[in-house]
Amino acid sequence: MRNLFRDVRLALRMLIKTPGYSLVSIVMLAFAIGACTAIFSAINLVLLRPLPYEEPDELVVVLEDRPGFERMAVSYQNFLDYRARNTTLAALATTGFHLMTMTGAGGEEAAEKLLIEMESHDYLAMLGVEPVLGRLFLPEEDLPHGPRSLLLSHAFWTRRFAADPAIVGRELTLDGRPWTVVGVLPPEHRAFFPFHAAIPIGTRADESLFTDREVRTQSFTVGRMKPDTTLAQVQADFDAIGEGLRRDYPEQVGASRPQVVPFQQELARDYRTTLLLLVGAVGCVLLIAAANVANLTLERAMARRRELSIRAALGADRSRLVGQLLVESVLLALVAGGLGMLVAVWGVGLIRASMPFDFIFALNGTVEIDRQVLAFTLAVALGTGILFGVAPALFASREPLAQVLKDADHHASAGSQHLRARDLLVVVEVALALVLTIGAVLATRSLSAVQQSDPGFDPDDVVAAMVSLPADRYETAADIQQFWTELQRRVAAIPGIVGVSLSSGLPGYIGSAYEPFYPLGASRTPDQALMATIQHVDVGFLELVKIPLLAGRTFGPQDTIGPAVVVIDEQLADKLFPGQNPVGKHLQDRLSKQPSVEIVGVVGHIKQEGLDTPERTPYQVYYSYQQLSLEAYQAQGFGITMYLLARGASDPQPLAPQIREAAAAIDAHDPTLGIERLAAGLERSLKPRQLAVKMLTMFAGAALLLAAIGLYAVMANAVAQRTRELGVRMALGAQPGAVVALVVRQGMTLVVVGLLVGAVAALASTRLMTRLLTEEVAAADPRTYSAVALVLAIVGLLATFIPARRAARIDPMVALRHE
Amino acid sequence: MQASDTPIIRLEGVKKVFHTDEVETHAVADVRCEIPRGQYVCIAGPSGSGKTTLLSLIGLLDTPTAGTYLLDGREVSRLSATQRARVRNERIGFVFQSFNLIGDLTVAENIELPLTYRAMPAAERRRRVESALERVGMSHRARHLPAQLSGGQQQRVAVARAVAGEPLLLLADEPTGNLDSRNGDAVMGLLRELHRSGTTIVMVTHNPEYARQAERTIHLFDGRVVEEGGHA
Repeated sequence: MRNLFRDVRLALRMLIKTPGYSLVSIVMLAFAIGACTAIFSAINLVLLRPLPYEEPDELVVVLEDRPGFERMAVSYQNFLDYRARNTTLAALATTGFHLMTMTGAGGEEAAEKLLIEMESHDYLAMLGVEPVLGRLFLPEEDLPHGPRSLLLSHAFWTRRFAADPAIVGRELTLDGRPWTVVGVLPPEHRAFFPFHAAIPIGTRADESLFTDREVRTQSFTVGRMKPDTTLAQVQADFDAIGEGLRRDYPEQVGASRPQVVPFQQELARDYRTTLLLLVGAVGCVLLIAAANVANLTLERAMARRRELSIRAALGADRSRLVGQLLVESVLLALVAGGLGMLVAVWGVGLIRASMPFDFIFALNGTVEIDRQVLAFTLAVALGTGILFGVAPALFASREPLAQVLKDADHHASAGSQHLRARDLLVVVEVALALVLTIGAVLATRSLSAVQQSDPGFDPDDVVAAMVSLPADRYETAADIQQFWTELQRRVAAIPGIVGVSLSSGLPGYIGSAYEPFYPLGASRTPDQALMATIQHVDVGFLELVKIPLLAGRTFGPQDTIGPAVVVIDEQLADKLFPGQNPVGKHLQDRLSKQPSVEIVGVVGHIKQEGLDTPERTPYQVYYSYQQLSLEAYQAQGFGITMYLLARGASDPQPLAPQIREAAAAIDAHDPTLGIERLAAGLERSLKPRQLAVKMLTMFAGAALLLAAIGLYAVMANAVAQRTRELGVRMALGAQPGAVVALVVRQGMTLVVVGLLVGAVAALASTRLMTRLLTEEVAAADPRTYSAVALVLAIVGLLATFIPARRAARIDPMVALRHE
Repeated sequence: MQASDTPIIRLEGVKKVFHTDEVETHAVADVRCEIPRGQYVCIAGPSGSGKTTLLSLIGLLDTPTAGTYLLDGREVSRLSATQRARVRNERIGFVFQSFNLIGDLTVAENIELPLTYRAMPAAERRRRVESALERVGMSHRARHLPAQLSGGQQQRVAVARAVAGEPLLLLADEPTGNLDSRNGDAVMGLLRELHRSGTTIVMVTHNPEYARQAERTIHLFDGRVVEEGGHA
């Protein structure tokens, strides 16, 4: 311990004595370690931090795949069967969400929209949640006509009821019906959404939304594996159950097959590849920084060989010498790690600002620097210190001891292995910089391609207001339609608004619902179904968002009553009626409850799920919302919620308060939940890609800069070591140009080798980033490779030229006196 | 414990061959000699005769290509690097021509350095450092850095460092080579004093006057012992 203390003291003294080396090394390492820390904080959140539930590793999610349409939520009826028939899960529960309006509670306060978690009675118990007041749901409350019981979230209980300890047993009115509070959930309980209260899902089990085996609401079916049960055993169990369901309900279940996946893996699915790519990128930056510092450390250690020889002569064995040098490098890395935390704080802020809403973030919190991240930073700093310190220490400590008895200048000479190591490090740096820069350029080009891609509609100058009506006040379809008609009339009258319409979802990012459609005459079995996204829209919607009409007509006043008609997109038209005009033809659906629906028009395909979200299905169908029954409204899953879209002569966002007032003037419960630009929502889908590209570009820039610094340092050192030789050459008549060429050739040889190695590595590694690349951008795009290699070669030339010019200015007389 | 009549150094057929490209250089060839405990020996010879190489072999800074080397009766020519380091640290003291003090350590820290490589308690180390400094008359410079000292003072510190570990054997390689005559005389006086107190000294020097101060001189030529002589 005393030895270590003495080594640390000496190391500090040595580092202070060489401030240039220390400062440059610390800055390079601080950036790289900080960037690593920031990326790790995201990895920690998404992949490593366990979900905030008891024994989270035992939790699994059940999904269903069918040919051509994967990862479907499980219908309520299927859930009941899976729960009843499985033998490998300790529990299987389901949870979904629903909007309700609370009235007459909390004293004089106005009605409030509540986000309700609907859950099977055993869901919270399965997660290990215990209420702070009262109890959880009972099985008899999880039934259609059971007592209406309610659990409050801790935040809602605190805010709305001032944490009233007597809340249990109190009745609250939700959607016009009384619900009894049976408990309050703990503050640490987290759900997919910041919900206000929970109700048993079974209370709605008699609604068609839950009785139809084909209807899949937005829900999670979550199970807990029995102890000592493997995922493979659970999957086999569910495969057998799926087989039985297909036998028992061939028309509804068809070719659907259950898939069981670990809960956290499912939630992190969209981020895993991108995060691992960024880990690779930031790892490259760290390696380049470490290689640079290793080179500087090597030069410094070689300059200290005499001191090391003396120590060895006095009895220090090699491990002691290596240990002393390692203490210095680790100390340097630890200081850099400390400063790197500042970079990490900035990086974490950047990531946090770009985080989209997602369930994994709702459950696991936000990106932050916690104890795990701090421990990681410490480990990376220690590891980096050893990484860049160990090779120079080994090189410098193996010099022949007998040198100590000779009085030669040890600074000038350098062994061939030392030089080879130095050159190798530069080659590696250039190669890594090339890989990263190519990756960043490919990703940037892909982002640009996505940004410039046509969404199929025009979101500019359109705002969308999410409006949700309380079910108890709008009991008939006529009531509902009257509200929407009046709202559209009022909003259309706002000066600056040039068009108004309604939609059940927003093109580009929200409200995708999927429904099966069948060719006319085909059996209505899942095997024959074509899944399509559906939207219920009002007259004028397609025109308002400028989705081009390709054949037939859009919805008109005649589509308010009578048999339902549909407008389909061009891709469904091509699939069902290749080479024919589909207008006037029919197809079978589930929603209209009619034998078939008539196709009245064909419109262009739009990027319904966002500019940058893979489509789950290539087909799109539009219904006229005015032809929907009340039941069909409710079957949308979010109650009576629609989006009012308003196009302005210019940006209509400033008119948002007037739109909200218009809705509040019709319904005093202020039914507007939020208003934002349609384009903002569309762009939101780009956030993860934008963040990944921003990070990659930053890392590539850093890699380029670090590689240039590394090359410059090596060449400057090489020139310094060759001063005498170059002086002799000049004394013998070498022209300055020849000296420049000599040095540049030495440097550029390393650059070219690095570029060749890097190109091969890039070809292998960019295939890993296909998720970030669009089809317009090939992973092996020769133009990108050539351009990036050229840029790197120019940077390399500059980094080499400066020391070369210095070499050409050597005074032969001074050089010859150098030793 | 070795018997007192066991020679400190016994070399039998010791060779050192260096290979550079296609050239084979016999720096030390078939050297046989014994140095009894407490003797003051000078190794002399022209440049390139192998003096420094022989001193490196005796000091375990290098290993012989062939032959046997018994240090205080123990065969040490085949020891591992780590074992040699331990023997150097515990049994051999060095005084170099160019002092070889570490510039970043104070005088006291330089003297303490070899002691830190042993598991020696701090209090004992301090006592030895103070004693060694007193012995060479440098106590007042304990906290100075080597660069703040004259050449003579640096060499006195180097001697103090060599003796602080109470070595069996003190090796001195041209200890006065970088000093003026006054400082050279002072350092040689220190060596004489150490010899009188029982230390075995092996010294390489070009200076015939200093060589005569030794009890015995071993003459080398082309890596071989060509002559041995004693002094009065």
